[in-house]
Amino acid sequence: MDDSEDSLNDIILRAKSGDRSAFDILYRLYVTPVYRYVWIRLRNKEDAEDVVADTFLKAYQALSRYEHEKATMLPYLFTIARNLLINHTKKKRPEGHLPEEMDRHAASDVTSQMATDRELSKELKNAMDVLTETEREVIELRFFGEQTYAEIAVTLDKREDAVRQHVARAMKKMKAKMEEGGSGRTHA
Amino acid sequence: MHNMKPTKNNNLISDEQLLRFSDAALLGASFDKAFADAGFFLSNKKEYAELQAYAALEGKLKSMKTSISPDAVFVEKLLAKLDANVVLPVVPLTSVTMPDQALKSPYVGAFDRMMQLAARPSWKVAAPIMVMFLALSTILGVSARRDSSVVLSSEMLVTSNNTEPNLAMRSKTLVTNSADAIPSISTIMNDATQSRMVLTQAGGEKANVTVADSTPETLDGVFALLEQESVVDLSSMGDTDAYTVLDASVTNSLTQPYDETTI
Repeated sequence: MDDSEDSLNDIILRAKSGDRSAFDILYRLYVTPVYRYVWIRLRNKEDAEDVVADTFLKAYQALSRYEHEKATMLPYLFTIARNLLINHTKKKRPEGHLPEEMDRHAASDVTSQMATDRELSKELKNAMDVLTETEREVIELRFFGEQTYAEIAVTLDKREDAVRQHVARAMKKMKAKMEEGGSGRTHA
Repeated sequence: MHNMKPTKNNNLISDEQLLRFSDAALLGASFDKAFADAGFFLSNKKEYAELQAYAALEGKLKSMKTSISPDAVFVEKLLAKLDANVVLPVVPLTSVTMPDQALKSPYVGAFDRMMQLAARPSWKVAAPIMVMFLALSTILGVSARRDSSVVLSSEMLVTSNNTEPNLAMRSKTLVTNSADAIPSISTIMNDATQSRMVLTQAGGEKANVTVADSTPETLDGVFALLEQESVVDLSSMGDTDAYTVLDASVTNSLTQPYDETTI
């Protein structure tokens, strides 16, 4: 364990013992990746803010019981956020299938957060449409939630090997879809 | 080393090579460095071109990620809300197991209230009540005994924030291919719902699954997830709206918040 992990471990322990300044540090460290993950699933600013707020409130309330093994709280936060997202989506449209639900959100609000890159958003959305729910989730956790494979495995309760396979397959599917759409040009 | 197989569709790049490339790129390595990390040489021209397409994909994902940020006002307001939040003291207690019969018993509510009292700092006051309750429940034949099918964590009772006391408990019988699938069902359902889930009468090829929640959609959603994960064959299930509403006095003990600390 290096110094930064030691330090983070210490901050987590302090937060668990009720040190609010320590929790504030963790909050500022994690609020952006959690927000990005929630937003990419909901594609709606107001809904995302509600879920993120509930995530941190729940995390805060249960923090003293949280048993962390590594110097990170991300799997803990993502597990809470993921459960809230499941409930949120069901409340919004009880009969809707999750990906379709997100599509409807995306159609109405996808550019509210990314006005500067509407085309990029559409292109990636189309590419992600070909993914299974699990593939989509691992891509979102990996690239938007900034989680490692091991952390994703904890969040989704899957084996790390399985997560790695899902990520690789998802990337191959997305690349194929983007090439099919004539958007597979490479960056310089 | 991870046990990864090359993909079946004759791609030039194996899953493992792609992930090594992707990992290096995510850490900020240059394309050539990431290409080398994936195990290729500059003479691998086809692979070079192929990985450039993946680099483009990663670049787009990264651009999209950085374009998403929480509103600064929201971040500060939420922090203020968190700072104002009062955290209840948690008194660690051992888990309590309850039998199926007890779930249907009118004494369960009293048992829960007793446990809540015992969990508070004023346990000295509650302790004699607990002794009296246990003596009474033994006499009445509803004493708590070990039963692996239902487990209530007393820690959840301590931090209960249940504000909807009239929630109904709904149940549905799942037909599984094998009793071996039941632990998987239990895990998935616990992960899938914030409601307290219990699995009762788990034996043979049937499991009576009970979910405490305010909306029937939760149970439907859980079943859909079970089907999606290919754990059970739900084709043999009947009408999913045919919930059995059990004794309302039972439900308070089963509507504690999902225990996020079990990850």
